[in-house]
Amino acid sequence: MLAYTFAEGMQQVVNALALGSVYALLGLGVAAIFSVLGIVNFAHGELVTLSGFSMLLFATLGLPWLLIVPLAILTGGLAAIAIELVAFRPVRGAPVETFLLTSLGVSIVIQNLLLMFVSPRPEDLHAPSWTDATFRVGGVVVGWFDVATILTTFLILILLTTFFRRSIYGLALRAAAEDFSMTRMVGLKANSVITLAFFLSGLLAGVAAFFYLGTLGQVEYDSGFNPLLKGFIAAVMGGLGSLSGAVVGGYVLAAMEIFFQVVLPSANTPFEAAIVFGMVILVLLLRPRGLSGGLSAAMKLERV
Amino acid sequence: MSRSLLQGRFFGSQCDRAPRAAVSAAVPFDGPILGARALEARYGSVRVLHGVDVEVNRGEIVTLLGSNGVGKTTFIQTVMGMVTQSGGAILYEGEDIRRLSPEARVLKGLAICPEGRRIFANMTVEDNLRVGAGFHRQAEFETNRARVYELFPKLKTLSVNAAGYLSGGEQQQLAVGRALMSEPKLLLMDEPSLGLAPKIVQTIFELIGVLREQGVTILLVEQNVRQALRIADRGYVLRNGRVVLAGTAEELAAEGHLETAYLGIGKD
Repeated sequence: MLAYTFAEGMQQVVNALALGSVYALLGLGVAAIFSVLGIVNFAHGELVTLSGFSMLLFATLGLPWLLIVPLAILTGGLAAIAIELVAFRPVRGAPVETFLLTSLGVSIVIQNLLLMFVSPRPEDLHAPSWTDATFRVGGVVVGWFDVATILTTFLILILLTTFFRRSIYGLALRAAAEDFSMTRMVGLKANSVITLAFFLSGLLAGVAAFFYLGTLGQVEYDSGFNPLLKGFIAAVMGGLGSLSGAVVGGYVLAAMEIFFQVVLPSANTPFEAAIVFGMVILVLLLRPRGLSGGLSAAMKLERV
Repeated sequence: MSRSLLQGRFFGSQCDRAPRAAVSAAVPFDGPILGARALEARYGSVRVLHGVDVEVNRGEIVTLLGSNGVGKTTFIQTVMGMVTQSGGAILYEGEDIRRLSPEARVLKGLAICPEGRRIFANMTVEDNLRVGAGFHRQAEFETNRARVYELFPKLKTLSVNAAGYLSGGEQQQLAVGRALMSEPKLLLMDEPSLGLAPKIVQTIFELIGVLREQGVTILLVEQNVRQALRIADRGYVLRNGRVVLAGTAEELAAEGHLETAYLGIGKD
């Protein structure tokens, strides 16, 4: 590993930033729901899958990618609202375990519907050619897609920060994350706040879907599993419920993954995931409330 | 113990109250703004309120007294809709609000300044006020904020600070200010003096007087009996989920055994 040059090192930094951006978006989506409802939505990965298949659909219809991407992102948001309406709202007020099982159930149902009625095989997304293009800075080869991923994520983070600071809807989400029943007692409708949280979470899943599946170049019925796992870990490491923590968690997770990919001898790469998860456990042992140490992860689901 | 107080003026007035439900949108309701009738509430199988009758008229300050655990907070939370009522009725401006969500009750003109203040600690003072205005009063935000800052000049100087860093008294001011942002007709205050230094408590009670002059009707839950009776028009004493004593503030203050007999204070 000492043989690595500066240029190669920089290349890995770009890789880690791009991967971390995707993880941050996924982590944010998971944390947005957790912060308001105190539950982990295990169907978050399916939002990524659904956005991916909608990209496929719109591409087949011959739409330009400039339209496909926003439509796919919107699909993610609307799918999240639909899932909340159909699956979560009926069990509102039930214990947290009910929500966890419900979200797992939603995940299984969506996967199997896609498997039966859409496609059992990976489908090629036919991503635009520029996603493969690269350019050189000094000795570093940089993918345009990585640059787009990093810049878009930063832009979204800035927009989100503004939203949470300035918009009454953003403030309502923050208030709900702090004290849901008090938020209702100032007159902010629980249903509106929850729908908003799911919409936001779905939009973020849609953006992540473009960058994650765009890199893979294909989508299949269980494409959402890995994104869910990474988003969940990012959110947990950041301190469940903390939005800024989820972003930090995403980048730290990606940095660890890339680091171990680079330094491990090739014979040991199969252990990369195990080592990364071990590191996550270590982080949580040292900082049980996550890297940000922010909001307590106490189960805060109230009688909504 | 003079049970005769139970036959005091507003219990007696129940018979000549206008029939309910005869309220049309055109004619403003001129009966009591809040009327709890035989209100019952329970947590699971534990009954907390056993048929409570409380009435609040427009422009009044009514105080709800009692020691810990007698159901004062439960009563407030039931009126707010956060605790489900298991019996009886809550009439707000003559209308039974049993089916209304807490949010809908706020739209109707109820607001709460809850026990423990429950300000949003991670948000700034100003953002607390914005949230207090709800989705429905954002257009009036500037006007109402100016009114709150006039009432609490200290909050204005702290407007960009995180609410969690405010002192207890300032947080209480913020909790009241937040409640006022929705332009309530009836303000429910749950132990606003709890945990505050005596000097601060004094200012909180002065504030309640100012609010009354501004036309806000207040239902005040207190353990600080003497202070509460000094400012209130009428009062009710709760014990084990029942009203055991009711009357004007003067009548209750004159009740010699108020603390020992009803409030469980100074028994030892």
